[in-house]
Amino acid sequence: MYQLVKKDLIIHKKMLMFMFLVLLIYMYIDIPIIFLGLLFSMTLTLNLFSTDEKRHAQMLLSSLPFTRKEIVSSKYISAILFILLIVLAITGGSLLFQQVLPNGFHLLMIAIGSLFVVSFMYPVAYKFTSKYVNITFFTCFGLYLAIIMFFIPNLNDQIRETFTKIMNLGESQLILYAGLILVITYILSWLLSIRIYEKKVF
Amino acid sequence: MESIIQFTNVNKAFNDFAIKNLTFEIKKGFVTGFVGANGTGKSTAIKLLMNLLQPDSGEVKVFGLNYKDHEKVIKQKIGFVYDDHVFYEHLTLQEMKNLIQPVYTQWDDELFYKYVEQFQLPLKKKKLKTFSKGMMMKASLAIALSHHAELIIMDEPTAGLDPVFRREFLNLLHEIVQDGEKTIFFSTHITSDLDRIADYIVFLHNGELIFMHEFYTIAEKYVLVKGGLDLLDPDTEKEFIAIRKTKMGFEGLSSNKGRVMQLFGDLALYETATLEDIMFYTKKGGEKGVSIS
Repeated sequence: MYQLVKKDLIIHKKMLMFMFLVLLIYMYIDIPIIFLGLLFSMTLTLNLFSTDEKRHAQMLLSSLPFTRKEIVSSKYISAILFILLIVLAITGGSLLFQQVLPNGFHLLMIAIGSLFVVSFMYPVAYKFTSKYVNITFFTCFGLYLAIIMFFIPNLNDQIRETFTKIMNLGESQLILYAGLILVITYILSWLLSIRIYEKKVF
Repeated sequence: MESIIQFTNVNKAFNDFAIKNLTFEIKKGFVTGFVGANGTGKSTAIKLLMNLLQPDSGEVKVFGLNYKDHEKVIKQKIGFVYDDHVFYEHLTLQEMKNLIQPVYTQWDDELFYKYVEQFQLPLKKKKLKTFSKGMMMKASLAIALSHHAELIIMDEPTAGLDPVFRREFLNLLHEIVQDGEKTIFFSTHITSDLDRIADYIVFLHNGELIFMHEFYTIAEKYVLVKGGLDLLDPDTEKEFIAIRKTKMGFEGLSSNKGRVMQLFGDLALYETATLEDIMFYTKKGGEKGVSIS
């Protein structure tokens, strides 16, 4: 499995370097790091997935001495690694341009938020393809609008209220709860993707 | 003789196609050709063999082991060559080799570079996406042979290759099995390839096994019969897999050479049936609903 993670790093080496460069440029013009972190993490992890979803890549990986469990698990590990690299790049950028360490809470929120997105994105992509990730997001957004229009008109207020309550928890408590929920979600997503991929027909 | 591959009552159904009750064994140390017209299930069977598909029922064993418990052990000993490009096309052959090498415990770098030189493959100068079909096939073969695989599985490896390289390729396969330790199983619809190297033939039609024979015995069983239409009646027609009738007479394929020769004697002409004849008449027989014997 280590070989598969290493393979992901080697194959995306140029892409990673390019993304870090663009990230640093955006940091130089002072775009908020939470926004940048989430955007770059999502782009990289989606790209990480889509490289191996082509039929020929799936045939290659499944013909090599790997189990399907290892193939899926390596993607989830690579995703953590890629998000960690983005967090490191942001830290480096912050030290370079502002000569201070970035806000640790913000960095944790980037990592947790990005991994939540991966948890929802990968099973959808394994079941269908990565292009359906966008369709799923749009469908969810449509459902959200439909719920507001026909069922719960004050949904936005309820969300805002819940969000305010959450924010009042304090940073450490918030990170603790979000982290716990993330661990459970990520593991469930991981297991679900293995189950989907083991039944996949090439 | 030790069996390397065992298919036992394997079934796999799709919406419009099914592999039906496939049972056969491949012997160690030989070249087995897997033949059938396009769309008869050869690639599906190869995917079942590589565990890219799982059977609905039945069992596939390789080296006497099942994939459920021994997937990695089995695949360490298999070299594969597909008719499609399966490598990462934006990499060079050297980069691709660097990715694959650590995966195999028996990888032999010296052997890999020997094949690269023999096949005149560019290692670092060209991306794999610029490789021609023949070069890609050579690259796949170099990788498949460089980890001392005991079983080489190839899906239509000669399709799209020029005649010169096809002959070199077949000679190479012949060399590979000389030590009696390696086994080659390859699918093709170019039956002339098999005349040169195949020891056994597995013939598939519409997802069903028609026969598995030693290559030389095919000529002993199958015969192409030519004669006048007056020789045919409902009873004699039953002896044929399929018959092609013209105003001048008929031509038919039989899988019971001895019996038809005894039946028609000197009244008919007999020719050795080629694999192509067998494929053609089996397809015709299937289309007309004539029983396939």
